[in-house]
Amino acid sequence: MAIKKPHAASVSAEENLHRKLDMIDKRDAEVKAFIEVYREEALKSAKEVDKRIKDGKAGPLAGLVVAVKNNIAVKGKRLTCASKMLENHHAVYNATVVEKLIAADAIIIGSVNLDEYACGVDGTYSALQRTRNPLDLERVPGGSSAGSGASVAAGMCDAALGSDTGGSVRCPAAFCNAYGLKPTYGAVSRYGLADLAMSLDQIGVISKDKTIMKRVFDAIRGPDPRDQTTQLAENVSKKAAEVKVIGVPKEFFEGVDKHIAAGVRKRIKELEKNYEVREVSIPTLRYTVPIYQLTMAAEFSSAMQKYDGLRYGFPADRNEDLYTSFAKARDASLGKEIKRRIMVGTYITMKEFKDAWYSHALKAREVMKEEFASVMKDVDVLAGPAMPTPPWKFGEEMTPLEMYAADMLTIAANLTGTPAIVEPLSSDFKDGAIQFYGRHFEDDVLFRI
Amino acid sequence: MDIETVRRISEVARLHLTEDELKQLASEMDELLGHFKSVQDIKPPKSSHAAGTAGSSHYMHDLKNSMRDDTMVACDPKVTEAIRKEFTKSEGKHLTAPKSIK
Repeated sequence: MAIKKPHAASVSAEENLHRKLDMIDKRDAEVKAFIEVYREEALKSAKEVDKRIKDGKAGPLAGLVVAVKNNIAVKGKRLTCASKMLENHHAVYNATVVEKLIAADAIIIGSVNLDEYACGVDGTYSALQRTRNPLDLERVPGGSSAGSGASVAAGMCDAALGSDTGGSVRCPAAFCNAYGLKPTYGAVSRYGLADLAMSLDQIGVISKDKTIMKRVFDAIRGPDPRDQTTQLAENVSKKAAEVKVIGVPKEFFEGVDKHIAAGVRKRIKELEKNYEVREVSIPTLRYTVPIYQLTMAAEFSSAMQKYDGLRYGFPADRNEDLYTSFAKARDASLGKEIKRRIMVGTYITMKEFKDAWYSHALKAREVMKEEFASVMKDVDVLAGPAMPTPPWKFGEEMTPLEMYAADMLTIAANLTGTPAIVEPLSSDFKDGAIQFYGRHFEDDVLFRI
Repeated sequence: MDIETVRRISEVARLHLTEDELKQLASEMDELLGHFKSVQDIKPPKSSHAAGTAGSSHYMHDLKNSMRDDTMVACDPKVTEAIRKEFTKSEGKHLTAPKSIK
């Protein structure tokens, strides 16, 4: 779909906000996308934005209503990460992306649910509430940005911010039949994002409208002195090229639901009318899950050490010695999946085991990056399915390995730092979504296909 | 993986786990690591950056530190006094930090 010019707002900011709030009142009791609705603040800012529109001084997102995943800091509001540990923790500053949304005159409607600390594929690992897929309440919304996908799909906001460490923006976008963007690593500041894995995390956008998604991305991207990884972000727009050749890695279709694979093949066939399409091979794509799990677990276990029950919310028992009080507070307030990842990450980075595990994962990741760079010398973008299956029903039992495998098509973008976008194939969410990967800092190219 | 190894990992990880949790994790970690072991099959080609030092670069881009020189700056005397007031004891020119954890 080619990008359209931003359309002029047909209703006032206040009217648009009221429509979204009405939808929340109507549906969020069953969908449970929101952790907190910032009703009063949103109404106040909508009135101010309308005044600026009238005065001809409004920003580029004037009147757009945006929800924010609750692992991104909004000053004075609860920053729970959907965990018991941080259930009553309040952010003391705004994340850079939040500052940028406000500066662009977007209206922040509230914080939305996620898998605890963004660890999960289907949204069922929140320690606070269960978000349902608004398109079919019996099915999962996808994770970890479950509330972002669900709030967009239910029409409770125009766009939502999520974070994507292994597919956490693109999975709920695909499961909720919306567009989802994981920008290049370093294209958007992560200042104010509670980290999961520092070398993989990136803030992205979900929307039902690709034009709106692009406008929000344009508003939040760019260098930030508070996040060193963004120092190259100023090169983004200068590098945007045209798409001529689309590469289709054969490994992207292995283990994918037949109906989804056929739908994606059909869409690629249609693209042949305008682009040269080539089959390519990236052999390390078969190893994405182990490389990712080892890298992510190592970084995650380190990131989680700061949650000790002293500095953050959950009260530690101060009558115990320091070690016991830390360990007990963590045990009482961290979920099962969190503990599993911390344990794996701690094990593979211990001095005596590191060489057999973590060092191998780093080497393998390097090989994958080189394979990607080599293939993408000759093709402008890669195409394949976004998720290997449609969203499953609640209650379907999955082993940790089966759950991790659901990310197999999205995580290569995080391991290689490349941008990726997902787009619905049809109006039926069960038909699945197509995904395009681009080159570093060529995020704009993904909007031109 | 035996229970004692899992117990040791949990101590390093600062997690206070029950015996049941330790048992379950021992079996889950065996299964997971058995699968993750396949990364050891990836042999970097000689031309690869990864053929050198292990994990030579796990960042996406080469990062440079933006450092500034250490310089002495004057501090507002009111701030200095406010900080001093937080410390009730001193030894010579050193301040003693109050005990915050029993």
